[in-house]
Amino acid sequence: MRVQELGEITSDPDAFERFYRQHVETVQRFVARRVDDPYVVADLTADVFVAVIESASSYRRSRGEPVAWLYGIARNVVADERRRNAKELRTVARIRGRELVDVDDLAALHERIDGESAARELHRGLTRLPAGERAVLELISLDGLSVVEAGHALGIGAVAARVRLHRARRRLQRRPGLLDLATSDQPEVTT
Amino acid sequence: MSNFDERLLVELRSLVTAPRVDRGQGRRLRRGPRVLLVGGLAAVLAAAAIASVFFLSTGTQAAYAVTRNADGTVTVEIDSLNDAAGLQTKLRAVGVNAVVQYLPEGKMCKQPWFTPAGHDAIGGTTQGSIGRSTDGATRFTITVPPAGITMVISTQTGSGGERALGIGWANGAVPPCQVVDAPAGSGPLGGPPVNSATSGGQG
Repeated sequence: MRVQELGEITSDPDAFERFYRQHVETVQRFVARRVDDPYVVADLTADVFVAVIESASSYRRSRGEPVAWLYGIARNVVADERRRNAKELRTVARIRGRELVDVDDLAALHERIDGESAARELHRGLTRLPAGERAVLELISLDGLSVVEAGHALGIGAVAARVRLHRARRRLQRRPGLLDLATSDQPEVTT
Repeated sequence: MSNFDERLLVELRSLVTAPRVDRGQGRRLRRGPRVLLVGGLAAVLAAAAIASVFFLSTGTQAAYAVTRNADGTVTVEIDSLNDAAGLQTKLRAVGVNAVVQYLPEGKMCKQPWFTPAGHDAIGGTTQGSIGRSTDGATRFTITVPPAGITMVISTQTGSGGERALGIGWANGAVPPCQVVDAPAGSGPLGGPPVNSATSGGQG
């Protein structure tokens, strides 16, 4: 989708559908790299696209390519879910993804979650990193973004992103099991 | 894409077409659609599995309202075919086990979708009327269905291009809708084509 069209998806259902079809698998895989419950994956996939609809009109080219912008939204949605769980609070979502899941979908979601098990292991292994460094490393090593794209997704410059990445890798030098995945600019997991 | 992906797309498209004020949690009807009622302005909802059908004009605004009345009945106002999940949640909150599925033009739920409740199961107690409220919303009042009965509200494009809304009753749980292409002119809930020209006056 062209950058100029992104603003249209907040009011044009056909434009939105084009964006959705192009990115729904990407979003589901992003969530499945962080969550292993298929119903939560369904909920969060819905939440990400609701957030896309609500914020597309404010998208600016300076925030990077649409895919980097989308990853930034997805990351915020997953982080919000974690905060809600931590507080044991639930809010009523506008669209409850889990209510749209049938038996066949459940099997497909389990398959997708199983396919991302290595990424989730890496994700869990990074919990002791400072949040800013971890965020950059996740987007690059788990999700396959470039340093520039990861910076856009996080709202920081490419230089700052590269510094955080360097620091994160240095901290991981004493954890060789994780380093194999975390030192590559390209994802070692299926995307 | 999977069935889930397709169903989610339907819901999200509805959200895109909803006025911005209706995308939030607090929704209230403001403008009513022009309604073409089956059987006139006071058609009685059948206390059976047969869907009651009425038509909504296109380009409508706002969403819905659900009110639990003092006598235990529930009044539903539908102002446009947006936010099916919100209406479903609201109906369940007032004790009506309901499934609401809005569909884009040319789509329907694969039939048979659910097990229709027989007249005996409903016991003749689930009745209501369809009419227009003063601000033009489509309104119907029902008694809360007995345990084990699910109210089903679904949409489809009518034979004349109108958006049609069907109300039916299912015995037990309703499986997720598998969205498929609808035969030309077929009615909501898999029913026969409904000819709007013979089903009532424009409300």
